[in-house]
Amino acid sequence: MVELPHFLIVSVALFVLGFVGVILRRNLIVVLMSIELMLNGVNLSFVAFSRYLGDIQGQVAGFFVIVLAAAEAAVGLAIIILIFRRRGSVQTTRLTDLKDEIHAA
Amino acid sequence: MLFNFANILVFVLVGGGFVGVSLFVSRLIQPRFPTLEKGLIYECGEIPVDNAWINYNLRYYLVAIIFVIFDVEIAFVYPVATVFKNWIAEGKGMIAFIEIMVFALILFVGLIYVWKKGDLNWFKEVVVTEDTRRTPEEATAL
Amino acid sequence: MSGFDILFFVFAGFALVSAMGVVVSPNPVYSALSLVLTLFSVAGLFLLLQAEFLAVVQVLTYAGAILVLFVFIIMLLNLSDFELMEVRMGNLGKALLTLAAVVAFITLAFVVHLTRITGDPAVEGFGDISTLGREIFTHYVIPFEIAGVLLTVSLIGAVMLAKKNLTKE
Repeated sequence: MVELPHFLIVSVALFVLGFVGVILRRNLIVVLMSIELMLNGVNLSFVAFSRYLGDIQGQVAGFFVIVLAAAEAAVGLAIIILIFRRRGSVQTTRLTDLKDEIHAA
Repeated sequence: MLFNFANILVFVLVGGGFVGVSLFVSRLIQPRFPTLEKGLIYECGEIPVDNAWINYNLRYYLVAIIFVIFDVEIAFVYPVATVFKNWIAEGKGMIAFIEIMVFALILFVGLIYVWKKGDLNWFKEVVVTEDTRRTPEEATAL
Repeated sequence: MSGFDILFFVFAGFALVSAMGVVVSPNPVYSALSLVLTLFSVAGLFLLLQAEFLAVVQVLTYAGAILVLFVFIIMLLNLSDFELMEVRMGNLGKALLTLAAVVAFITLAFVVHLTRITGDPAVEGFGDISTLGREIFTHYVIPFEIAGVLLTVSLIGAVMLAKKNLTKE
């Protein structure tokens, strides 16, 4: 019998996978996609709680998260375009200008 | 509630099953003599040249951004459309109307801004003044 | 095992496997396609949770619009083969990160295990579009208008950032 904890486990797993992607990947586009994964995991738990508590407000929150994700993706990808135009690269390993020179090597 | 979406599930299963079954059956009965020409990517009968991964023009991205933003706006407008009639019956129609108009106006400001800035123009005009004059090489490099 | 349970495990399985695909596939195009599958599966889970409208919005804006942006960007940047081959972190870092992720997952799963919410309080027409509309346009008017401002700002900001500067600096 599938209950609230099952949905929450899926939500947690999505969040952790997205987090691993943010840390592990070096491509800025994939990092942004992993952030979308994390947002989706959180959204799933919002909706699951909303369903099992019988309170519609969780769904409203989930809706606003989707709107926010759209805005975030538009601006984030525009920033990636700018970075690519300036540096010719979207690897996070190349964007180390602010790093301490002693450890930069 | 779930019954309506069971219809969609049936569509997905039948659609996916049709593709899977027809591919599987054709694989079972087809004769196969692969040659180099047959293995090429089908490109309207032409021999494909260059990489499939072409560089899209940036203008498509600007249009795509504007599409995304207004897509989300439309998602906001659906719910009010479903409850608007009830609100008019309850005498709250004006409030809801003002709410949705303020929302639409805010987004409209953004559209007007982008329009006035000329970012929607497909053919960009380069404004040439004394300090923005370009050499022909720079102009072609754009 | 009811139909509900089977559907749950199908959608959850697809969501997790394709989410894994987003994280591990070396080519960003494959990541984007896996992300589409994840978003569709999560939309299916939303349907199971009686959030019909959210499921539709998820497919409409996420899978329909946001992913188009991602694919555009991947095509637009025309990453070289060198860019596609990622600089991978060392085995030690990978192992540590995986360990940390597993620990985080177990901790969160334990917290989930402690939640004692059971029962089925939802009523007919719980997550349909008019219920949600009533809620948004009565209790959430201010967030709704602020969301409009946010969308406008991100529209203008993204266009200003992304467009080519035609006047010489």
